[in-house]
Amino acid sequence: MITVRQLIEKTGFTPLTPVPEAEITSGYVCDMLSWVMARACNGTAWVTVQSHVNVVAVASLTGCACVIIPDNIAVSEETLDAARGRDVCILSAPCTSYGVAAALHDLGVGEVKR
Amino acid sequence: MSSGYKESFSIVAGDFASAGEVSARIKIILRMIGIDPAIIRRVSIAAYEAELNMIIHSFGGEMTLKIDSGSIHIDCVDTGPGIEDIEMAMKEGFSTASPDIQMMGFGAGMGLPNIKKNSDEMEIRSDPGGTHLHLKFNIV
Repeated sequence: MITVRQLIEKTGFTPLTPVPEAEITSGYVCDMLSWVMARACNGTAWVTVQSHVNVVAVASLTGCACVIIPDNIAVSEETLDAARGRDVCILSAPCTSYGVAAALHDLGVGEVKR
Repeated sequence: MSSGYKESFSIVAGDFASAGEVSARIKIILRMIGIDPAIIRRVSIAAYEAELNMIIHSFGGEMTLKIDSGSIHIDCVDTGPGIEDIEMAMKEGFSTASPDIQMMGFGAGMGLPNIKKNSDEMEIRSDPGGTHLHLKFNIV
């Protein structure tokens, strides 16, 4: 199992908030928040193009290890402030959601368990 | 319930910036009390969906958390405009959210189905004057 810090070291994804000492237990790609609420769990690395402040609430409630925003999509300071306040880690990736998922898979991160 | 914990939270219609804050507060309370993490997860999901429903679809209202020795209760009471067709609203994928709201990742039509799936009991009454959603989660 890799940690968020190891993911950053191996992929070069950019941390936009402080990096926790958290292990990544699974990966999940989805942009619909209710689906994420239903599927993500403690330690999930969540990949989404949504970058508004509500992403922080969903990540915090589900216990995601990190949120990965692909395609270098800009993340507002409002979102980052909320993330820092709730200890949610947000990473920025230059590749697409597919590329992020492939990178997670290559590092041994599997699907969320249903 | 003669004793236990009770707290009410105000939900403001359209306040997307605060969406999830009440659910997060409820999660913290349940954690502090020492509720089983699996139950906290179910309550969190249901509370979040109920909170979002009130923000997106209602004129605003109140969410009340009650905890006694055997169960957790969440009551959501809003002031309208009511759910036109509850049976349709219970179907996965059915949504009346606007395209703008859906672009933000809300309105997947999973709200009420997720609530039902994660609660032990769910009662819903609705008319144009408001909706009352009651949820019960067994602790033991």
